[in-house]
Amino acid sequence: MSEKNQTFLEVKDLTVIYTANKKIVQAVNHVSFSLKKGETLGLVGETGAGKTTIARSILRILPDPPAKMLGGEITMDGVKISALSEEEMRKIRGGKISMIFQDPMTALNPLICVGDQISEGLMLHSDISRDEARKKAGEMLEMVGIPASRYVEYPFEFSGGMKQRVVIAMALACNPDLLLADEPTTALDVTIQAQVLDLIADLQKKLHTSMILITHDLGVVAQTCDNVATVYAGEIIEYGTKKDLFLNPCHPYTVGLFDSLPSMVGDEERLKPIAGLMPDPTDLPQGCKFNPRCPYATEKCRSGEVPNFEVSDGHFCRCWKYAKEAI
Amino acid sequence: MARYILKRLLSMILILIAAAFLIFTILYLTPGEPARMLLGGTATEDEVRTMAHTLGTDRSYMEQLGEFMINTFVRFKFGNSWLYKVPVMQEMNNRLPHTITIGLISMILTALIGFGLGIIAGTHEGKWQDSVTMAITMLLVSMPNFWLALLMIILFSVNLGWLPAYGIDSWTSYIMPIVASTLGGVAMQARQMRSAVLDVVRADYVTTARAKGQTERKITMRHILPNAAMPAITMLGGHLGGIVGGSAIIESVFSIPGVGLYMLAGINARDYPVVRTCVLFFALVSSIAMILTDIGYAYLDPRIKARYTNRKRKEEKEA
Repeated sequence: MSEKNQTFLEVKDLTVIYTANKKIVQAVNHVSFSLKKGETLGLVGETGAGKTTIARSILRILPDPPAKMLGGEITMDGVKISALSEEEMRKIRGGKISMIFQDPMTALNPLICVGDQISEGLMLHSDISRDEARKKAGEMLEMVGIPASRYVEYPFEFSGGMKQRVVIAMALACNPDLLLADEPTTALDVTIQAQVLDLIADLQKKLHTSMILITHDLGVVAQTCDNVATVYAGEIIEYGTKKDLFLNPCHPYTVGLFDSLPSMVGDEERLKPIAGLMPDPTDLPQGCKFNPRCPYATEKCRSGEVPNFEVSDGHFCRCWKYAKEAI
Repeated sequence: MARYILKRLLSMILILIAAAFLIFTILYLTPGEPARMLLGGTATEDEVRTMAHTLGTDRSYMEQLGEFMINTFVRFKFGNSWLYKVPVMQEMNNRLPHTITIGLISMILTALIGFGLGIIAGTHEGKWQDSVTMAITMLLVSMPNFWLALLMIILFSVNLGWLPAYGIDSWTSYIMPIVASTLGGVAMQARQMRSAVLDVVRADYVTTARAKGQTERKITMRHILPNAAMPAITMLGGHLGGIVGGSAIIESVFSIPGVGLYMLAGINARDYPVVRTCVLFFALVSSIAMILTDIGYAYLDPRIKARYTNRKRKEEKEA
């Protein structure tokens, strides 16, 4: 049990920028979080908040240029992976860490049969023959509910949901220690969504994999995550257990996210969307990034960094509202 | 697949028949009487009339067309040259090797060098490899091949004396014609390939492959290249037609006794059997290039292949 409670992945002060037309996009700003073995962390937030960039910088597959990791330290299982050479990193990609991509329609190479796309990763990371890799890839297909006989078929012969399952099989083929699931269900319809989530949860239990689940769907978070982090304009503005966030959302933005969901109880006629738009990432506001949209914003919010306040044990929030509770 | 190829071959015959019809009609409608052109300005009316009778050009359009079509497609007879009185086919047999050698080698070089440069440029976007390739190809694209040929003759034949300036004596005679007819195509092909690679490099499945831990080299060979080759192959097919069709220019510059030069001579002398046969030959080469392109597609892209096999399956079910 003691091993289980150890911090498995630690991200410290991660900062990533994109440069486009001489403008600097501050995509991820000083993000820190940690993850224990077998746990699932949900990253929620709007499109463009920097969730995918966080995941891709863990795997170090951000296109450089335009992306650049300015600072930060990523440690996994005691190894500082942010300092590894490209060659060493290549061995970790797909082996210890793997990623499920957002759009199954484009994540598969249209010219290679699905089975070979799964065995490609297997052959890279374990010392097995082509035949063994094929057999294992067939087993992976069976595991995600696709008959192994469809090994030789091409992506265009599969439906969207099946393609996503192939992508999942591909990501899980090498029994990764860490799975980065980037909106694995966004491109699917709701019925398939539930199936895919169950599948991931099952496999995660079986293989004892830690997972970072990126989504903007709070329902998905409720179903799968242990801890949740709200990401806004490249910052984690609230972090806590699923219970903390769902029962006691603290940051005005997180509250706003919940308010913009239809509620099953009560008979409110209208949803309450969060006023305004995400700030321009090339020109982030001073102080709290949320202050232009925040109904509680004060002078204090408009200057200086907002510290991370601990609302309750393990529940952090970047908002001055909780300042006195922290002191 | 075999069925598909067979179907394409059948459609090729239709294309050739159409080409034969067109070239016959165009030549028929061309002003100026062949008999008079062949005999020269001093011939009398009587001589011209006798000549026209021997050539058969005094008969009606339909009669002539019918005879030409039957001779070409049923009897496979292409007639004698009106000017030299020798069978056109005999002359073609002597000339074909030159044109085909230049065309094929030029084609292979275009594909290999063009694809290679395009991939290098595309995978190094914005770096020096890209800029250098693009600068060179821009230069080559804007240079007409006959002008390049003349420059090469001045440098390598006149000044340095390394290569023969005209005719075909040994394999060295092929070097300059091949280079002249290759470089422009290489440049076009490289630019096309580069833009195709740029499209594919950003594709999600390339990121997927990278996330699997695949090496950059294999990512290029397995994931980028086949996907980027599709549009480039289309161009390559058209290009083969272009090389052979454009052989008239290169062959005149280097005085190579090939099909292109034969056709030019035929046009100048109103030697219709020669012109018709040469045009049909070019049409044949172009159609074959197109079929090869389509087969290449089907080979590379399972989606296209499936369309044919599915149709086959359906037909089998219905039967």
